[in-house]
Amino acid sequence: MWNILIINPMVNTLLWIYSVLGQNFGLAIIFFTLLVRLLTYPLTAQQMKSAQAMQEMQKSKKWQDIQKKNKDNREKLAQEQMKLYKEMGVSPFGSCLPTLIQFPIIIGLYQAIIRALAVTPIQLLDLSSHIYPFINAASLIPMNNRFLWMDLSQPERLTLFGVGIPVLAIFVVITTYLQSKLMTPVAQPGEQGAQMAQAMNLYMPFLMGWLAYSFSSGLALYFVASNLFTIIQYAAMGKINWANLLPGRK
Amino acid sequence: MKPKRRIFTLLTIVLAAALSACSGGATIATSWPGILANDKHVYLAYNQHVYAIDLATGLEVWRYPAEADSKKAFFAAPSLTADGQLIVGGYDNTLYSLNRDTGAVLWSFSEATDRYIGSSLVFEENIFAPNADRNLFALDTQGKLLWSFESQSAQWTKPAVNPECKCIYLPSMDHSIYSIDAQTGRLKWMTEDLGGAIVGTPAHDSREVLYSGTFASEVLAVDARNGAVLWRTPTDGWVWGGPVLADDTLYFGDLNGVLYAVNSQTGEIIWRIQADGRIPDSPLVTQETIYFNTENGSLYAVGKDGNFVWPEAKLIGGKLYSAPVLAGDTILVATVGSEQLLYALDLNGLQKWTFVPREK
Repeated sequence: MWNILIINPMVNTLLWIYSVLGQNFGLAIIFFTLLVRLLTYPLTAQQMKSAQAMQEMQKSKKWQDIQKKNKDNREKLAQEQMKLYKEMGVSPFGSCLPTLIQFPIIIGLYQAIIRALAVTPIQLLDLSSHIYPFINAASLIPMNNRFLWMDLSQPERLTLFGVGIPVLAIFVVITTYLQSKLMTPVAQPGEQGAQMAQAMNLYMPFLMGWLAYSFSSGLALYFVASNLFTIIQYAAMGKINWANLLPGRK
Repeated sequence: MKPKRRIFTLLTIVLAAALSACSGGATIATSWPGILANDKHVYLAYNQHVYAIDLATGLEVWRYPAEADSKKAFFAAPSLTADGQLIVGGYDNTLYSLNRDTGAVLWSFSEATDRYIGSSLVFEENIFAPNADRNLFALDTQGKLLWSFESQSAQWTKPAVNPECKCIYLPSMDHSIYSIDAQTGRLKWMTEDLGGAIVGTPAHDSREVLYSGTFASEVLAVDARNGAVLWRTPTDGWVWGGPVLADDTLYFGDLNGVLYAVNSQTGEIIWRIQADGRIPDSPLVTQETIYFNTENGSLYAVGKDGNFVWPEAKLIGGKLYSAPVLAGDTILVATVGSEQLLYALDLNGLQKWTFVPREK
């Protein structure tokens, strides 16, 4: 089921884009990322709405009163919060959905990249059974796995003066940090969740950077492209908090 | 907010684990076993070891390396030189020469930058090792590099040789076959783009014709003097294993599970048989019978007239990707994904012994 619904469409879309873009797998990944961004746009819009609603709710007097009233009773606080969520029509997990959607996409894309690049016999044999008939696979195989200085099937290192520097992983850390900083609403002092957002802003770039460092550079390229497209998308919608980049802002 | 945080942390752990699981590694087999046999021993390259197995008993004689090393993996069938060296290429970009009696390393060659997927060709005093880094390395039997020839894409299969002209016929994934002077490494000719990658060793006959299958779902004949295509015959699926030539007939399978007998002079299909699964490697052709494996774990025996010799295919189990190999009157079948790594059968398909690598 995973293959039929996720991997096969991804592999074939990648192969199709690859064939259209002059057999450049790096460009195919970048365009594929753009396509995924466009397809998940309704979810992104929903996330923004939910986040905004949540923020407004957390600023409301009712919310502040609940916090004060139940500060020593966590169970009661949770119950009251849930009641308020329902009352105001806010889903506590609404803003998580696009993030949750990203997980199968990341896993699927990683498997699709490895499968499409097929650098070993078992992988190529496996690929052969997942290609749709309208893709002229014979003319595309072997895939060109080179993009700029990278072998997209391998973890990326740019060798300078004999030292392998993980340039793409560094880009992943920077763009993930920028993305989370720019898209996190400006926190009010004492606001619940501000501490968590801060922690996530630090934790996520390093997690993504570690994944980019350890796995094939095709995945790292997806991370960078995805982060940049997200920033552009949010900027175009006027939802970027440039103020968050200023020193001293939390 | 706490449940949200917990879910997110859990998912990141799941993500990392899922990516790690599908990233592959030296311990996960990425190809199928390679077999070489002589009258005493079977040499089997699979995953982290090369095994020497007693042909009569199926008992392990030695293994290389003695302890598994996560950096080393072997899948290409070993080759033997006239002076008794066992040549085997690894996924650690290194070509090894082993003492065939003890498994001790005699020398190694580490100038390649990618895996050895195809077997080495031994011709006269030299070794010709194709590598996925696009190079064919010609070495002497001391491991000294004589020359290298670069094609436009990876080389995944053992080249063929014509002793008359001392020509190496090198198939490549770049959709071409190259003819190379065995002594100098100079290109004599290369074919046009044949439409698909070639990962099977071509067959060669005395009429100076080469026969090869391609991923363009074709088998074709090429003039071995100049690389011109003589005929093309379409097949149902990709042709992975090289065709085997016997009495002017080519025998080969495709990834749609069809075994073909084709007239080598005209390209006309004489007969075809639908098997129960994909046929990724060449058939074994004996005087009277054609044996072939399918991915679904079946071993078939077919007469040269296209009729089944055994009423039913023998279900070996696991997945059978490698070609069956004949050693005397023993058929050797290597499996992937079953406990037994190697089966030894008589010509009627009755089991003689199996080989299960012992845990160390």
